Amino acid sequence: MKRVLLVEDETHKREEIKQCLLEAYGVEPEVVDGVSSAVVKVMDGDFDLVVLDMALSTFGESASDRMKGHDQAQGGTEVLRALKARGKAPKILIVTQYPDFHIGTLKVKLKDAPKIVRDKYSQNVIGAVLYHYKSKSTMQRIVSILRAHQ
Amino acid sequence: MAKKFYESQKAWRPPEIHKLISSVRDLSKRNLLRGFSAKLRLHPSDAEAIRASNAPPDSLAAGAILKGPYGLWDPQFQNKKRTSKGLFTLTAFPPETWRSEVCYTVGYLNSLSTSAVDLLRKVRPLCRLEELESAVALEILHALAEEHGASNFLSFKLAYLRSARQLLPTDLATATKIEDEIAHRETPGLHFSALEVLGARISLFAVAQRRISGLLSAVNGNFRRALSLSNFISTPLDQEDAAGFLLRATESSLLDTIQATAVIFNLGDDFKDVKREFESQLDRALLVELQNYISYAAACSNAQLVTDQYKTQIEAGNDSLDLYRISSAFLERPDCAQYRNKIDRVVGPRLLAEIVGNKFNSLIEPFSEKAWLLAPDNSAVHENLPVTLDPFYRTYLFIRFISDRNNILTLTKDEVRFVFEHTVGLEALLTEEEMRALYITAPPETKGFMNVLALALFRTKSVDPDVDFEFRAEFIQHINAEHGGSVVAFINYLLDGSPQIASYIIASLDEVTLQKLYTLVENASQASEIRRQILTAVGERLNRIEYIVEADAIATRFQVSKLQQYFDNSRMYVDSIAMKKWLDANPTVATEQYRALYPRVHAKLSGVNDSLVIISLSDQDEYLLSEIAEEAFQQFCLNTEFGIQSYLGRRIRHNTLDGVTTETVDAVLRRQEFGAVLSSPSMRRTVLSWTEAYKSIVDKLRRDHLQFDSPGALFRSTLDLDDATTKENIGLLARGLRTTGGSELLNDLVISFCWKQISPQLENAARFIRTTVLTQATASIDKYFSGLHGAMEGQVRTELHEAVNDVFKKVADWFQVPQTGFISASGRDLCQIIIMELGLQPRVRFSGGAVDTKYTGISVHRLYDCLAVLLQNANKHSESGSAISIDMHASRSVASAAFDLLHVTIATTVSAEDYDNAKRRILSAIDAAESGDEMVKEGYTGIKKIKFITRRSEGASTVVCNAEDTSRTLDLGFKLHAEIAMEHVEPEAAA
Repeated sequence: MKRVLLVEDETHKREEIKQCLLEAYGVEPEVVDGVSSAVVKVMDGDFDLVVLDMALSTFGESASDRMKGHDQAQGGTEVLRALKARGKAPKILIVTQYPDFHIGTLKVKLKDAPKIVRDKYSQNVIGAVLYHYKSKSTMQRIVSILRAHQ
Repeated sequence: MAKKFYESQKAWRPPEIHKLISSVRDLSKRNLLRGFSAKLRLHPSDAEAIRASNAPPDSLAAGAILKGPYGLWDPQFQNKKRTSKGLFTLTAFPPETWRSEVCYTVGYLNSLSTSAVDLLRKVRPLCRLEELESAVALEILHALAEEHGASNFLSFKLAYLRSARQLLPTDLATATKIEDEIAHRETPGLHFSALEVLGARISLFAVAQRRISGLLSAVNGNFRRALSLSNFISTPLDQEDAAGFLLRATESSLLDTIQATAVIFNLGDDFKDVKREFESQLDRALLVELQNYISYAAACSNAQLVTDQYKTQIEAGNDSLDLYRISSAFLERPDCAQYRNKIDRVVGPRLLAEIVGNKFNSLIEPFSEKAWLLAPDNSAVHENLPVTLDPFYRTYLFIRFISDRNNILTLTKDEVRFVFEHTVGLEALLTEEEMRALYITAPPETKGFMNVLALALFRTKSVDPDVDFEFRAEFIQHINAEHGGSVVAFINYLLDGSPQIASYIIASLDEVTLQKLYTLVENASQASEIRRQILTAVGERLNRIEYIVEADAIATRFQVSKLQQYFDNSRMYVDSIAMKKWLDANPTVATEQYRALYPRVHAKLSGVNDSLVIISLSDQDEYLLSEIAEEAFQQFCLNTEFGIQSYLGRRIRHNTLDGVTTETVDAVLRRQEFGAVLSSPSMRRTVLSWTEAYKSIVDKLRRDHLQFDSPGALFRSTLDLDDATTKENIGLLARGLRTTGGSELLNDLVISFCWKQISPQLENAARFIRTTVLTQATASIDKYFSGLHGAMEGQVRTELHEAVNDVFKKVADWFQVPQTGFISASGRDLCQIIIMELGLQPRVRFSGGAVDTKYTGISVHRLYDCLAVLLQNANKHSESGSAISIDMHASRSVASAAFDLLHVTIATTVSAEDYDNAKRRILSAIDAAESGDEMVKEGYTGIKKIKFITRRSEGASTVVCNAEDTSRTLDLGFKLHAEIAMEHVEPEAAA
């Protein structure tokens, strides 16, 4: 059984990705909705796969004080840094709504993300998907990437 | 004949020019010059070609031909005064070799030697500027400006007077006349540049960074191209740089060229060849006059350069830095030039490191005297100017010390701690490589501590988030290993022996950073609490009230945020607290000038009947406010932390736009009753096609319109100062400041201005979305569903129309004329929160017309703080069973509709046995003097706290107490200007 972590703060997107994971692997992921909990999770646990959103708040809506904290436009990168710092390299699937994002001052096109993240953070990025709301093709693409990396 | 010349496309040149051209030895250059001399106006590349690769005699001629009387380069210049705009431009061509540049400079000077000699005589009294009466000095500068216009020299002398003297209103009027002569307002950058270099209130390190950001790409590695950068290193660093230094001067003005030559003469020991070249070529009479000028300047005492007025504006104890900055205005004095140059060689390139890189590192003279580096403050040092060992001078020594990496190994933990505690600006002055060297080279027993320090430095310099992460990881590890996982314990440890380091570290540990200490901090509230505790600890230890006030503000914000329920999350939002913090931390020269000028303008307006002066100062007041408003508005719009653009980004990034636009439409298409009709293949195709078209409308809105400053964008981050509304808003800002009686509220009012200024843009965006975009969306429905005539198909179409109408109305509502980023609250709201939160159980009775008036901005926080003190006080002393009366009434200023002057009185009946004691205690607290230091020592609480808050807001404490002995009633109250929350304006109905 695969151990999967889903880092996602939007309910509808989360539900769609969970469906994809069920369809591809038949697993329910562990879900976190903020950078802080994601970083703590990956530092403490060993996951086979991390499905990662890039734009996240620091604590998410599930924060104990119900305050989401600082919005981190590139919060997903913090998770990559934490993994690198711990010498871990699970499979990573990036699912974001932007065609490009920033790593530091470097603007990264989503299609180039796997290579750049691999080089910079020594991570095994299996895909980077541009998410569209309720888009069948997005769902299909996620599932096909997951299946290709059983 | 004259008419013929006028109509000719060829330029007429006097015989002197032709004679000079014929003196050029290189034949091809002579021909080139003949060709160019026929042109009406030279292109920079023409001038560059004339200057390029000349033998010294031809460079001499080139200087005279281009810059002398009737010179080809900017020929109008000779008979016209220079303006700020004329000087404040990038040099148009590169410097030649130093020898060539000296000859070119000499050619220029010799061709105008009579004028140059005359100028030297005129400016001679200014060598002793600090000894002159301000009025006398300003009159000399005024005469100079009237005759010759702008020069960097004049700007520095004027900036010195502005920074080092308390100018009287009449002096300020003369200063304004000088600024008018040099057309300062059209191009304030020139004069501001001088103020940035020597103005006491402006951080040299911060402002250099800001200038670099704006000019990095424009100067292409040559910092001498831009005057504002060149001024940060006001003496030449080496022979190669002397070429750029001289070119910068010759491109500025005759006076600046003379001054640059004087600097070279003053640095003759280090620039022997350059000086010798000048001496051998310079016109004899001019050379003698220049030497006399320098001799006269050399005889001046340097003891009084840093005035008491200058010192009042800064923290004491960094005389070497003060003199470094001020010496830039006295470079005709050999001691000043030499001291400045010595420090320039070490510090200057580091201020501009992003531009010059490591190019000048070899100029650093190594220094290995550890005992001297670690000597106590105020130890004697051997320098040209009267300085002792202080943090800035120690920083200069430290940079030289670590230029030999082996020296780092000799430092123990305590010595490192001592150096960090007794230096200044290391974050700006150390290179990234040196910071890395520090933590890599640290001895093992101090590595953890050194890592934190070095990475904290590195972090302030680098924008690399990987370094930021590294800093936080190291920090967490160190805190866990050495301080039981407590950030507060670590800061307390630092406070015990190295409080300045603690103060420095907490600058790095803002709430956002604390939130990102993921394994140490569980939630945002905990981050706020840690921040509050460390601020309090450092504030108490260093007697710094600003830390205590910030700590208290965190607590207040937490309480006031309970009013968040009143705040509609979907509204346009700018984090006004973050913006205010940014404005406080990044004052522009205009802001500092305004703050310095304000009390005098205010005094003048209220005190003297000299209408001419009043008009002049008021005019300057609004002009400075325009400068401040422009910069602030840009941040308000574009700042990545709090600006409107970041709000738009979040809306888009967090899928709110997609969610709102898609979900409503999807809901229609999912409805059961449409299941049958939507299952037909043709209808499915129609829906699919329309959905694509609809998505492209939304995409276009997001991509092209919900943006700043691009073609088609709905928002603009720049101010049009000629626009009537902008003028009115700036006028309101100025009147608001005059009404509220102090520049303390400047940043609050600037934020309020920004909201007023953005409002029409928001209204326009809302209108655009409700009309244009909605029309496109409904037209697309009509287009795609036009061939369907069944009843159910018609129903789908109608429902979709309603859905998109809802969608764009909702999106348009985000761009309503906003509430401010602050929470709005009335006095009654605040009292109820306080009563609930503090667990008070009084019976309260509200009265007065302002009880339910909503206020906003920082006023809410101030009101909360003051009310909390009064209510606690009243609750403590009120007689059992009696009610507390809270009266709030307001007078609205005619000058500013944005503010109420709110009068608050809280009346309590005190029991017979407590009455006399309570009355005496309150009256004595009101009479007692309160200062920042005392507040730290005795607590930022009670009546002193209200006095402090009202003094900061109103200029003087407004707390009063009326005692009615017969009824044993104590009325305790205060007055405060409070910003009125903007009325909510309903958007126009959809078209």
